[in-house]
Amino acid sequence: MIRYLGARLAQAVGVLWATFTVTFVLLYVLPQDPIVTMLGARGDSSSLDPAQMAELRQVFGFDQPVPLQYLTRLAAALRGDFGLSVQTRQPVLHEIAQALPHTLALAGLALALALTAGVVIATAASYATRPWLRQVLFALPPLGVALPTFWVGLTLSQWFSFRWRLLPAFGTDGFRSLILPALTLAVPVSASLAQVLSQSLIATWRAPHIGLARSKGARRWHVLTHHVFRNSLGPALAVLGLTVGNVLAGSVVTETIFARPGLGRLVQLAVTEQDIPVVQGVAVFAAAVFVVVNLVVDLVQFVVTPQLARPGAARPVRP
Amino acid sequence: MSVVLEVSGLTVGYRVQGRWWPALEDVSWRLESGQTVALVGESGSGKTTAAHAIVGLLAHNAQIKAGRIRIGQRDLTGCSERALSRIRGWRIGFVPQDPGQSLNPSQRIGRQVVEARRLHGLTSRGQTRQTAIDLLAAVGLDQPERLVDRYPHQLSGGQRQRVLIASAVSCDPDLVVADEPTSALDVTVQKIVLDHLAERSRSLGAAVLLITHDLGLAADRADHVIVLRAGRVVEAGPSAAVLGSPAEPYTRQLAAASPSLNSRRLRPRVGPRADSTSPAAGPLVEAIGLVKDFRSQRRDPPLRALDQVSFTVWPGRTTALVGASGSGKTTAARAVMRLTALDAGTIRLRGRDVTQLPRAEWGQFRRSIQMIYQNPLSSLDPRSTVAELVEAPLRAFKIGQPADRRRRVAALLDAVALPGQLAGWRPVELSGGQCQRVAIARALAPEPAVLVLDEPVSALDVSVQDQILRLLVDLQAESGVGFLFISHDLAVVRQIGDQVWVLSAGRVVESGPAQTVLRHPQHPYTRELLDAIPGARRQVEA
Repeated sequence: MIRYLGARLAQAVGVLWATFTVTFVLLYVLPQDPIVTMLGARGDSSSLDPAQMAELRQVFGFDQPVPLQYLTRLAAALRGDFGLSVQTRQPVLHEIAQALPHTLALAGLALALALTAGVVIATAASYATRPWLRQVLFALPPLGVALPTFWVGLTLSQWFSFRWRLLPAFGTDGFRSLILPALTLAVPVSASLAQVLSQSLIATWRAPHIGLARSKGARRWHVLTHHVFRNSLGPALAVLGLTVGNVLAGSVVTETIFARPGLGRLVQLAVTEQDIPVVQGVAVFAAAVFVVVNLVVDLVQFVVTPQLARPGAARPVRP
Repeated sequence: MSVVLEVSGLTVGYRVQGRWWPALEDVSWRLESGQTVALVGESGSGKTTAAHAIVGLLAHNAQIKAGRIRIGQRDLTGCSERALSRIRGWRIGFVPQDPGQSLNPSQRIGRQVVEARRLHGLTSRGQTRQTAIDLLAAVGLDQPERLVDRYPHQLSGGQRQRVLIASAVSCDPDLVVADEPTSALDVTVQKIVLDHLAERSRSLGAAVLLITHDLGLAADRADHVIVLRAGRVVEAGPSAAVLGSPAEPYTRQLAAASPSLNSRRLRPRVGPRADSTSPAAGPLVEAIGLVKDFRSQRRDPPLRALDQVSFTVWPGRTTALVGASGSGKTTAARAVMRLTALDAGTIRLRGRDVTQLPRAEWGQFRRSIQMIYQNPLSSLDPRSTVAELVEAPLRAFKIGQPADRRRRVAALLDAVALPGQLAGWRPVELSGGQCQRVAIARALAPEPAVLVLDEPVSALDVSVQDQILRLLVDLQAESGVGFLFISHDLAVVRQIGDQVWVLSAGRVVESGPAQTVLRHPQHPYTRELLDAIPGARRQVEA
């Protein structure tokens, strides 16, 4: 197990390095002079002052040869320094740190909602005995996956904010303003979770050991809680790890619709304003979150699935 | 003696896509305390449906149309779900078919053994561990205090089946229903498990309902036998009477097909084909001093799967490698196929060393040696049709033009007695026996010199087993192909083997002509394998 963990950690470091390198190549090296790109968004590139360009070039280190730039930036990134934002002239890390709490609150609530809804819908769908109820419950997750995030967001604010005036449509005014965006973000996440979990639950309900538990006199609820649920978690956990990426991506749309500050907004602004250091910083940060979450998911798999942690003892191992 | 179970006029069916399929029609029998009754029949005879109806595990689309199932004074067919759950596990214990999948993979053994007692309030939480240890010890498991903390995947198949027996009898039930309890196990393990089932139920005074397709096993273990066919009782009575002098032709047919009741070598019904080359004098395959080690972890000592194993296959004859699981017989087969690399030893095919074969000759080698696997369905590509499957080796070895190939496929299907209209079907639409016929046709397509058969009939019903064995014997006589036949079942080997090599823990412990080895076994391990054949007791008496 320790060897496995070591391998996974090395893999995680590799992913982060690859993210940094790919974003470096895409953003700094490939298209054109990054200074023109940065300034091009604001004005006509032909009317730029050569002296100002030279100065900027020096500030951002673009006067250095590319390999040296790469190594300097990589060394700085290892210390958490992704350079300065072009718009605000603040360190990128500072910008991320400022946006993070808003996104964390949103993503946290959205994940909590998604987990609850996903698990409840999937479990109810596989537990229900009435055919019509099963049909309805099993139809919900594919529907949720199919709905586009922006449409869900607009519809929710249309009804809850503008028609019924129950919740604010935008802003960061306390917990109430968090509900609609979190709901919007939770819909696709809970749907994909419920889809995988319900399939896995159905398969477990059909397993021979479930029949045996019933033959011992266990009622369905006991069978669900003691035998079915834990044995169905594996695939759902794997999806949950991947879903965190969806939450980050979804926050771009959600925060834009509901006019909330946060990482999504930061990325969206940085991209439209060609703020290269911020884009790279957020990309590497998102990769780091993704890698850590999936490592945690793997560890939880070890706890949930005894076969992973304990190799078979009685049987000789055969290829 | 009191009546424990009384089934009367039981009629059960399944609703599939709006159509009604009867599985049991007007079936009746009774079971007294301490008695063992065997329900015998082929797949589809309704025997498992009967077991499931009693235990309450019928599928959602199944329905009991008529009849009663009485346990003591209660009629189960009229009970509510809540009332049934109080009877299940407590008055009726159930031993399922597949020990590999019948235990919860993420729960420790101890909790699972005691679960029924906990559900029925017979054991408190604090006593769980000690009760589990006692229950495991009672079915003869070693070191029960260590087993209770293990997970199912850490146990062998035989250990798991004994855990399931311990669980089934844990509440001291009146009735134990055992659905093919040993069909997934080796014969030697089968015997141990059945002995424990009989011993435990006898000491508790429980009646046993044994579901099996093996008449030999039924003859060995049951006082009464009920023969089912297509959902109806064909014949019933004391086992000695029913199996000794069956009144019905169907029972006679089943008895004749049961390898454990049938000790003669099958003789081909055909002579050699006119165009087949006369058997060459020399041996086809010579395996000399094969050694194979498996390493699971770098620090563990390697497991020696083959230790100086030598054997020979002759044209037109059957060489049988026998042994329990883990004896190395499948590794030997894979070594001959060159599917696994050897640590030492030589394999000669028609006198030529194939362990050092140059790349250019691999195609020719593969063509002359083909394999048939144990599980017929999983060895066939589910997306291909029967014709495509049989044609695959012809295309791979570039044999003939498309029109020739089509003719050859038709001839092969005919040779394995498959109707021509099956050519367009896919494997899932076929029965197990039909799938194995397709696999045989496919293996014979490139006209190999050697056929390696790894437990080719172990997954099949006895009557289908018999048909496949007869087909193999006939095909061998026609084409002169040499068989390397891998099996754990000496009863099957008795019917088809010419030369026998007995393997134990990677070593050959005994070898020689089948008649000699099986009639006068020298090594205790061979005797143990022979004793494990169900029906052996009856034959000694006869």
